[in-house]
Amino acid sequence: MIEYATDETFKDMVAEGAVVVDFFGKTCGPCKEIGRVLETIEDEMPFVNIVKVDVDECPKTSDEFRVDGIPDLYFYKDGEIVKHELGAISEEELRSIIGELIY
Amino acid sequence: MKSRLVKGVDYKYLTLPNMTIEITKEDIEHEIETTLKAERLSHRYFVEEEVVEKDSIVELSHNDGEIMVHVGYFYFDETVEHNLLGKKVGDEILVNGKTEKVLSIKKRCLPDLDDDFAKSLMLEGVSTFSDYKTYLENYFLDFYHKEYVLYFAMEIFDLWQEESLWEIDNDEVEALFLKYRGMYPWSEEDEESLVYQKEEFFSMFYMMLSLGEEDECFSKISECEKMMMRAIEPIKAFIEDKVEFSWQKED
Repeated sequence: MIEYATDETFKDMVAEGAVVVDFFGKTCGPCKEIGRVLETIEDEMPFVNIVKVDVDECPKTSDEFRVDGIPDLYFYKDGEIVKHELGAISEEELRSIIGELIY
Repeated sequence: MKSRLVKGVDYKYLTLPNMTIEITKEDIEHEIETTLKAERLSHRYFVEEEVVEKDSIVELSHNDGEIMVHVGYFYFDETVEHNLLGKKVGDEILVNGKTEKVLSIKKRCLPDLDDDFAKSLMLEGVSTFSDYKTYLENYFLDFYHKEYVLYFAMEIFDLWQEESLWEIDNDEVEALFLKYRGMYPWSEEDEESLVYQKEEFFSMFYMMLSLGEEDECFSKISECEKMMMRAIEPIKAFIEDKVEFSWQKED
């Protein structure tokens, strides 16, 4: 499921299960590239929640994570960050990370 | 900042691009179809299945617990996923040399696109599927308008920037471009992405100078995005009623 976080909802959205957090910006080219890949993966992988965080709309969360580059991806397992990737990564890499995240 | 805007030209002296957008019934239909597909996907429900097929969601015993496998996408294990095909609940399968059991088999189904589906979305003024299509039509016309206002505002900013007078410090530009590349990293640094990055950077750089701001926004991504929106806000207001659609709803 792809859901958009707000500063208020973010913590609850990453508390359980396998979650990919995508910090993005409306005008950012590489973010659009990653966004398309995440949409495909979401369809294939129903056990992963994808939480999108617009850095412009969620300044508090972006500051907490010290987001100084986008796209910025965090991979959560049951509320814990298990991996962090800054910048656009390939579809293949993303699939592999998500596979590891779940299994 | 050593670089600065010396004199900005008035927007009314710019030769504006043609801002009449042709939107056809097919364009909107396409958007509606895409949305309906996505909505159906997000409202999928599960039904039990007899036999594992591609796309089945299988619950397997695994070590001392259970795992879920979406068969056919190979996030788990290609060989195991192939071997699962045709299995039934209770059948056994070898996973990493260990015998595991199929605990349940499910498949995701799509809901029918009918009045009940439309009602379940709980949208204001939507009680039938036909209402829902009208709702989406209006939504997309509004969405297109906002998107095109943003698109043209960016384009007109570049025209305005070319016509305006600037003092540019090249060392400052070099240093900020490095910061910019750290903020918007691409997976691969090829010639094409570098050209794109430079274009994007210069728009952002001139936007910042147009606001008379210091370069802090290049250190914080959320500030940078906000700065860009602030810089084009006056242009958006200037062209808001100039962006028009030629759109005929009826055939």
